[in-house]
Amino acid sequence: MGTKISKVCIIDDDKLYVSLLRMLIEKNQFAEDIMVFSNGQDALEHFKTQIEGKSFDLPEVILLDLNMPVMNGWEFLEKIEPYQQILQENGVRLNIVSSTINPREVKQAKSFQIVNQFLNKPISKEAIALAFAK
Amino acid sequence: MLAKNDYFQSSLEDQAYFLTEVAEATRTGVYSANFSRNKFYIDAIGKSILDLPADYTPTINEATYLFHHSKDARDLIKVCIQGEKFERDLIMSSFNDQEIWMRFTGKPRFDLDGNMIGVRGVFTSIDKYVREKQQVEHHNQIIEGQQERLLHFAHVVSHNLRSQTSNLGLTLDLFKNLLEHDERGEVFLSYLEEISDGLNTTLKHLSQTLTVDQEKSMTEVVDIQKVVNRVLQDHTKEIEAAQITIEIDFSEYSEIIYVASFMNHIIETLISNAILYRDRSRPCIIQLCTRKKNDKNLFVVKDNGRGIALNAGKNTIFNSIHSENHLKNSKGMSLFLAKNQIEAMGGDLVVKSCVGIGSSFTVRF
Repeated sequence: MGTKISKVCIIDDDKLYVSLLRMLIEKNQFAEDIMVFSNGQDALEHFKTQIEGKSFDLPEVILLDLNMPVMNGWEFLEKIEPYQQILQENGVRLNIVSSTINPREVKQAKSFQIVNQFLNKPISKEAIALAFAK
Repeated sequence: MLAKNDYFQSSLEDQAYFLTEVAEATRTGVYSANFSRNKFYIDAIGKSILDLPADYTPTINEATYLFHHSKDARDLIKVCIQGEKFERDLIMSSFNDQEIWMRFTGKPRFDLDGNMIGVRGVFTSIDKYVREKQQVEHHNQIIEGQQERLLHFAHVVSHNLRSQTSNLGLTLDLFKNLLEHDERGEVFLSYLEEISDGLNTTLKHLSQTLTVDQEKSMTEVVDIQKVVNRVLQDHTKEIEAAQITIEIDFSEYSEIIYVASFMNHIIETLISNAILYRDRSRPCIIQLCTRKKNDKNLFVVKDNGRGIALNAGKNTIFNSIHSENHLKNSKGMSLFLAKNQIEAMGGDLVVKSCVGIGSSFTVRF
């Protein structure tokens, strides 16, 4: 099932989900390294530092939740937009993993160029595997 | 043949009689304001509407108190001074301080020098209609508020539950490995997986019910034949195992402009129900056809299954919650959702059924 990627970044405030996802990724060897941020702000700052410092320690896959405190997924998508090209050039694929059922929100999320896939919760192992597939 | 001086015939020509009757029936009073004499005259019917004493003839200033909002009286006088007629809906106060909505009209009167000397007009009680309208608007506001709260509640419940069921599913997936070679554990795990799947299906249907209105504009050309093929493909194992005969006739039409996700769900629901509730004591035959009737496109699913007891006036088959044993699972919600989707698109779903004979579901798109 898919090739193992070097690094995945989970941006989600649901600790249980993050723990389960971590176990699932480790068990299925989807990624070598996992970085976790509980809100968009922390993740954004990390990416900005990496890009501006030209260290480019970037993940191959980002799994972004939409509903989070401090900075939600929507704000993150807007703020990360200026860095879209550089992220994509470095092979970063951003996937949204959300519980939203609102078709308008799904459409809006997909309209961001940086968004690779929209995965709807409840999420299965197969869906996660799809997010990692190149 | 009428008598020469028939009272009833001649009364038809009686204008005074006619006007009095109309005025009483419509609760319309006549007034005139004489500015030079500073008098405000009101006819008998007008006085009775406002509960005024029969001999009451107020001054112009006193008459302003008949208006619930004195500003209305001032505004009307201003309009008259400009030489214009008026028609306003306003509140008048009766002698007993009762507020009555009136349609108040007036035309200014001028002397030979062009000076305004008074106003004449009528006022009709529209109280009953205005209050009924206000009541309807009030009820609408309550219903809109309730609907908004309900939708918000459903969204929150749906959203939060989805996170939980998602985590439950992932937990079970990870837990599976720990129970290898543990027979009892595997049995319990299968129960938990069934519960998890049921929760997911119900939530999916709940979510789809909530988004029906938003999705109904997303129409495209849908090929019913293709959807049916896909659904039958998904049920191949059951169809072959139970030796079910499927008869298809889409000769009248197969393509239709519709919401693809709705069509998938409707056809999946009707076919899977026909398979699930088949009568196992006889060979199962399911007939699928499209028909055109009175400019309407129909899709019919007919079976010779167990049938449903449809009680007149108590047709709960399309409800989301069922007491019927055969619908006490996530399939019940499925039919409820299908009906919602069909109705959202302006169609309807009609069921005819007889216990022991079979059922037919007709979708009128």
